[in-house]
Amino acid sequence: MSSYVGRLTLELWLPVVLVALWWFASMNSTSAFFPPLRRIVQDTVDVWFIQGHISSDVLPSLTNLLFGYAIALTVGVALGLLLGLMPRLYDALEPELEFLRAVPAVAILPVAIIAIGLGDDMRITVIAFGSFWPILVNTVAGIRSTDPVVKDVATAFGLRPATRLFSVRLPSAAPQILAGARTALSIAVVLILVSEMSGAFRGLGNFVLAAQRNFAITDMWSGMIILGMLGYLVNIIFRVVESQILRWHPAYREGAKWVTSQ
Amino acid sequence: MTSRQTVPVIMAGSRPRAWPRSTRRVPDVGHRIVWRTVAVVATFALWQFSSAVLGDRVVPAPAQVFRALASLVTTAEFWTALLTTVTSTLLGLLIAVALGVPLGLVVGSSRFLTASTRLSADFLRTIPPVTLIPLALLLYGPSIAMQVVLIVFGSVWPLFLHAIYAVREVDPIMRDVSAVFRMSTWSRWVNITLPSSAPFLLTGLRVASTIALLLAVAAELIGNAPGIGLEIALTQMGAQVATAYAYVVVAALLGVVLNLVLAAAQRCLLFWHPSVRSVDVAS
Repeated sequence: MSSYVGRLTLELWLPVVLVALWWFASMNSTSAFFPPLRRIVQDTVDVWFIQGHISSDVLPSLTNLLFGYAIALTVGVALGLLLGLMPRLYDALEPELEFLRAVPAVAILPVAIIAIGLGDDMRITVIAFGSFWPILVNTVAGIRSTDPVVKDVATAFGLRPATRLFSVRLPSAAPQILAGARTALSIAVVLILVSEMSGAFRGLGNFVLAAQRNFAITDMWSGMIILGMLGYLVNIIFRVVESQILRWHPAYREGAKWVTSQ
Repeated sequence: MTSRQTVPVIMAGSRPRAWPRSTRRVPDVGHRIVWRTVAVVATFALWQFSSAVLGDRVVPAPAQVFRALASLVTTAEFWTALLTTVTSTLLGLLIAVALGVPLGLVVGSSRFLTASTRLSADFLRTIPPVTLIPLALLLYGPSIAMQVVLIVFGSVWPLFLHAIYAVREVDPIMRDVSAVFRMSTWSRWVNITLPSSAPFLLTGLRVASTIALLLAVAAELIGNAPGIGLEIALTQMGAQVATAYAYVVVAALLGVVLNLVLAAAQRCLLFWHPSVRSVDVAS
């Protein structure tokens, strides 16, 4: 118990000190750009929870994020499986895939606006496109690096192709697929914000940028705080899902390895 | 092009695995050229076809895009924009390396510091970096400074975390041996810690460089900092669709080049490492 408390203090002292530092350093701040933290906190509660910007700005952002990411996951894993099992096809398509993967995803935003317009479907498309590549590439790599011994055993035991695919190849690729999915998630979050920052009338990205343009600096800070907390929350949810999926994996059973999570 | 063998993600705590044997039959060079050519032709056919179906105001035909590209490369604005994007990306990366790597190495070599910074680093790195665009715009306006701040904030975390991880993964036997031989602190860092960290640091650098380019373009697109992203936005607003596509192609080429350079650097610097020696690595 006491070691638990000790660990907790060890992990918590720095964040507490940093926040306290911010709080006291900004207490009497008259700078327009750095309002007192106390006012930011009040404003955060006010704007997001009392005025209800959570439902008018956060929910649409999250919905678009979820749709785009879900599409990228489904298509990415499915195509990755296909290409992972057909090395010849992957080999032939590799230059194109490498090229498309290298497109900095935000660059396609203006093109998507031309092609699709300014609606939510454009945002979902951009998110799906951007987060698709890490998932695809990691799935292919994961499938192709199945331990040959495991493959041979599966064949020797006469497993049916479907069983071999879903009970052997896919689980053995899971850690790598999830690593790709994690990268994809952070790209997706960036994309939803960027897409809202250019030509949207609602959404978190739009809120923060509009606040800055209108010199509503406290609002801007409160939006940034909400964004930071959302980013953290999304990450924690991902980690829980990941640890559930990889429960069986030896590296996971040894305990959480927070540093590997990048 | 090289044959690709994937290297398993090195996971903390897992015992060192043998590098995958190449049991896969590598298609011979002749076949590969034929099939890749077929794939390229098919890609362009698909592009042409979608242009015909959707109209060239939505998807310009390949020929239009390449014509736009050809006339772009004769203009000064194009090269200025390209140079600006490259400069700010590299500058941001450089600062991120200079901050993240030494800090990570120091933090990683102390249990106390690692535990203390864990929560803060974990929180800060999950903040989507573009969140900072409004603040950076407020402080620096639409400039390279704004862009660099954004890039540093986004790409410092992978470097920092990989550096922490790298130090902690130094083989304990090596550490003990260096203690037994009473190597000086300096020589321990130079001869043991740094070489054994190098693979992780380079992986961190590759992750960071992708993020850096993405953020550079984002800062240009949203924050109107000069560069390729701004050109894409301007051509889009001016309805010069083919030119906008041409700039996207350029941005992608930039990403490809960045990847290739770093992969080559990895091979050069890690020529002694088993992951590079045993198979042709590109992951």
